[in-house]
Amino acid sequence: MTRAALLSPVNKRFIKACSGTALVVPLLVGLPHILSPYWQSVSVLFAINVTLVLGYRLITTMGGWSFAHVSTMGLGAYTMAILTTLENPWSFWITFFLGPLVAGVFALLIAYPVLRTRHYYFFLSTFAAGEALRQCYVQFSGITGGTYGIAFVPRPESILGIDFKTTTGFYYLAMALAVSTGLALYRFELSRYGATIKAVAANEELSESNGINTWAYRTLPFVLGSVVAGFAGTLYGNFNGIIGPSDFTAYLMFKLVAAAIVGGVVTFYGPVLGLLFLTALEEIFRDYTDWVPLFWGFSVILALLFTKGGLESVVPGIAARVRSVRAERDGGQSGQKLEGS
Amino acid sequence: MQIVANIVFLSTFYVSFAVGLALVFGVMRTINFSHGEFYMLGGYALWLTVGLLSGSLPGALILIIALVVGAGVVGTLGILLQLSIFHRLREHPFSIFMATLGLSYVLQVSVVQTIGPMGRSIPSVFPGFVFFEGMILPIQRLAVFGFTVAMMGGLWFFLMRTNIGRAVRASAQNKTGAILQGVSMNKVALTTMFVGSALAAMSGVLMSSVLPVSPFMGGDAIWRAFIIIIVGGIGSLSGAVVAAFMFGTIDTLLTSFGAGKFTAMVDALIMLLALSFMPNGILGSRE
Repeated sequence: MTRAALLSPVNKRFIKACSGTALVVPLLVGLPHILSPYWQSVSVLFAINVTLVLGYRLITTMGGWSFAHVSTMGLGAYTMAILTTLENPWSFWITFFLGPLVAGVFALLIAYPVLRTRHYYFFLSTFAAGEALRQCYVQFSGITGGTYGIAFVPRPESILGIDFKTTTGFYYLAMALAVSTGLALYRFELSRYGATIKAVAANEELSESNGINTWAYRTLPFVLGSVVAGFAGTLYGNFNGIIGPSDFTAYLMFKLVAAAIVGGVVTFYGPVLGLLFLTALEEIFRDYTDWVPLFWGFSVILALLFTKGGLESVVPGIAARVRSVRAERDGGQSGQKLEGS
Repeated sequence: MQIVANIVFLSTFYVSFAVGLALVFGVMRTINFSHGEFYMLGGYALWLTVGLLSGSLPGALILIIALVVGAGVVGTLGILLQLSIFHRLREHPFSIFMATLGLSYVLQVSVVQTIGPMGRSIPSVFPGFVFFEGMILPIQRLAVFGFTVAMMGGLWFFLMRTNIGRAVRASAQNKTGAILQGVSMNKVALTTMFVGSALAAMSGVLMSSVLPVSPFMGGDAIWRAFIIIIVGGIGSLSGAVVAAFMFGTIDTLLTSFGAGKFTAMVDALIMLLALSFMPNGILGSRE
């Protein structure tokens, strides 16, 4: 690669994001040492959910809000659980890559019918497809263990001296997956593929008449997003040690959709912010778990009614206001104020 | 013959549930996700009415009171929904859809917290059976069937023979054209939301006299309704009716041949096939 290509604006932005992430890494590495075991588990699940919601965000970049994401994630979890609990168990690390593959193949199979639909039709058809897949987990009990699911899933074998049987070790695995997923998807979005996907989402007819295979560019994010869900699924099932159909219900799906709406999906930090908000609500009202979906539901409604695009659209506004106030205080130029207002 | 009776019973239920959803979509161009919870509230309207009035009034009257109360309360809820969310977000139909998704969880939790998460069976309003040509027909089911047909007849009369019904149909066909003819969009939207929500509640009242009520019954029902309106063609009332009878037949046949647990998968598979070959549904028009 030539020097000029290395310093292309896209690579510059990516390197900036990487160095920004590198600043946070020490914090993320140190975090489990100051947390109680309970909060360690919460952070592991949060990291897995971040991976899930980032994959979900990728699907939304093509303009469709899937409702099959959690069921697809279940495919990753079930593949992992079935193969690691055989009489001659497979290594977790093989299933860690096999699970996402199965999820991706499923997404590819249903892509043809469901991607013929747009907007809410897409939501409805993926909703029905996902629910049918979940029914498969219940009904094909010979393989999946039916409603009881699969128990005694062994933790991953140690790698590089990290023991994944401890929560701290598993936290590193989950956090590493979340961070690398975030960076990989960010680089993907900056690439030509990412730009084309957005162009197709913005105007499908125009893209098609420019010779873009719109079909392929809508299938690609759907399948890739499902693969990411598969990765998250293998970790999710493995961390709990037991998986069943009740792990992959509309409830978790609603949490993801709500995170994407409350946070927004234009930026990468939007859905993570949304997820942080919903998880905070969940933990604050830990003793009233039955009420949590109600708070989430109200958050979704309020975010839709009173923000333009979730929390991420509020943050720049606040930042701009802070900047303009500061500029005013410092006797700054009027141009600064205009920009802020 | 028993199978035929079962097909008719199941299909009329699917019709009564899916038609309200299709009606709201036709006019508002968005899906009301909380339709399933409106249906569930209808079920609890019957539960309350039976609990309060059982024994003091004849069965038919109790059912009618439950229908009126359920339709009135939930229809008002539909109007509130129109005023609070649908009207404010009218430029963003997809946001409406997501907001109603949030609302459905709000309603579900509210019912769980006030009445309890347990499913409840409502004592039969019309006990007894009729034996006819080798069929066993519970009177309850016959009555539900009769009321559902009457409800559909009422909807047909409303849409075809009243002025406001004609305005609703006109707005569904061509919004701009309807406005140019002096149709008030606000009035049409409010009427549609009232009627659509009331239909959901009445469907709930009728069905919960046969099936147990629970706070989660809406989720099970709306899933099937989505399949029905997708296969029927979104927004098409006649398509919804045809698809409802199709799935009523398929589900009954599967159940009577001992494959009842596979209905969900078979229905979803049919939907995926229908989308592959007829993306606009049986009677849907191209968007």
